[in-house]
Amino acid sequence: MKYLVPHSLAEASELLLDTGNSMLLAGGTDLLVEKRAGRISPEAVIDIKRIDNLDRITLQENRLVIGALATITDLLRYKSLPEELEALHDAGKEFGCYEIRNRATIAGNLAHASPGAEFGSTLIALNAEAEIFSIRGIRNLPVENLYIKAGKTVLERGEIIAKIIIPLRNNSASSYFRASRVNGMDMAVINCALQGFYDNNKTGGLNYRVCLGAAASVPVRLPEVEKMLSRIDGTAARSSEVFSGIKSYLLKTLNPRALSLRAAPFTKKVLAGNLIEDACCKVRERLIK
Amino acid sequence: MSIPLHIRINENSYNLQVEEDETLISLLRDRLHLTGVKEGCGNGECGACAVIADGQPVRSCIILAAEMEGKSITTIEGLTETDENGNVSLSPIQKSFIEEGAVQCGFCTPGFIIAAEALFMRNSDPGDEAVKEALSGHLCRCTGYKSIFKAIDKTVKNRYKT
Ligand SMILES: Cc1cc2nc3c(=O)[nH]c(=O)nc-3n(C[C@H](O)[C@H](O)[C@H](O)COP(=O)(O)OP(=O)(O)OC[C@H]3O[C@@H](n4cnc5c(N)ncnc54)[C@H](O)[C@@H]3O)c2cc1C
Ligand code: FES
Ligand code: FES
Repeated sequence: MKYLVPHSLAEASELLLDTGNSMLLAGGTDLLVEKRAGRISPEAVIDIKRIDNLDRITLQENRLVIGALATITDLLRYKSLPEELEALHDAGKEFGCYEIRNRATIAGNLAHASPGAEFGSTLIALNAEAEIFSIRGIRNLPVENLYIKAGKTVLERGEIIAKIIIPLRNNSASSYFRASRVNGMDMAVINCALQGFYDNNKTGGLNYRVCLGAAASVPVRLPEVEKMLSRIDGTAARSSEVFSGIKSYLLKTLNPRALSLRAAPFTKKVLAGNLIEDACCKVRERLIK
Repeated sequence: MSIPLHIRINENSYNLQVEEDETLISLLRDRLHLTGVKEGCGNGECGACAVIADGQPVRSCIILAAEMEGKSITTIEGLTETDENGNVSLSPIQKSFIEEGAVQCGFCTPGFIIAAEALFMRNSDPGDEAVKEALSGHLCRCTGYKSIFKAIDKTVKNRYKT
């Protein structure tokens, strides 16, 4: 195996194109595990950690931009995280353990494409985009369109997630919840990220974006559930009616893989309903202070 | 093929040649005989292999040695001091672990102590939550953790007595 150290994204992209069976190396918390387990045997790893400025998190006028090398720890320590993006903080707190968070990058979390990855569902609920760099050009892609199946994204040879761009949304709040077998150090049995937002004039009721992780081979948005949630009007009776409607809908429609290591399909479906309720209540609490 | 690596380990500088796919743990244990670094799971889950790299605790089983170019590493061996007569003195955390009986088989101990040491480097007076966060993801099969937390608590308290 070759170990290559590019100093720019262009060089990294070129190396990816020129070297057969090569892989980018960021924090290595997936790559090294896969390699040591014999599931991958790249001819070359291209360590992007010596490219300058890729670890930045910056707040711009109407968006938060997360660089490819920003780690979970960088995110948790970031002081100017806008309140409406609190789901990112929730997800970071659930992620692995302190030492893993120090190495693991958010971009690597997307690129590895585990069905239950913390930041897949979270960034989809927040309507984030990935800026994808290649020497052949740059393209922006909604994170929602990144996944093909477990472990596989639409990234082509030579393409690198350079940035993750999260739009800020007035009058919105977000949250993330996960169910796992133990606290930390295990991937989610199921996870749920949720954004609640008013339209610009705050005239209508609340609207929602909901995404589940580990409910299928890729993170899934639930447009029907989003519609059902928007019928909540704040009264307890109405909310419990909506939540029980959602739970029966999920029992009928979700189709988690039967051979999951972590939980049987029925358990996952029940937990999904509970997490959506928790996440929705948290968002309303955060929004309607 | 091998590549050059310049690295500081426990305050000593090394210019080495490493294999491209050599892990940091393998460099430390197999070549430099720093066998206080333990390999439990080999896939990032147990914490036995933790070392401090430029002030941050990391897991040496899932890091390539080559990634550590220019870095400064501290292993459990680097926490003790040896005087001119060859007497070894342990760090305050190591002493508390012994006093509190926080070591049974001892396999997890270097990892816990490294994590605690790194915590004190970034936070001189950590509360319970910070201690829990720092040790999360370190597994111990023997002690039931209580004595480990006691040992760390004692180290915190001793600091403020002296
Ligand atoms: C003990 C342990 C606990 C964990 N706990 C969790 C958890 O709780 N939740 C969770 O979601 N994950 C968890 N993980 C998985 C892993 O830590 C994350 O997926 C992590 O975010 C991966 O990032 P990385 O920088 O380490 O990626 P790497 O391992 O360096 O790379 C992962 C993959 O992405 C590719 N890649 C990396 N960066 C880019 C880029 N910028 N553009 C394109 N491709 C890229 C690599 O080629 C590789 O295929 C855990 C792992 C371990 C070992
Ligand atoms: S041996 Fe490295 S974490 Fe278990
Ligand atoms: S003392 Fe035996 S594993 Fe911790």
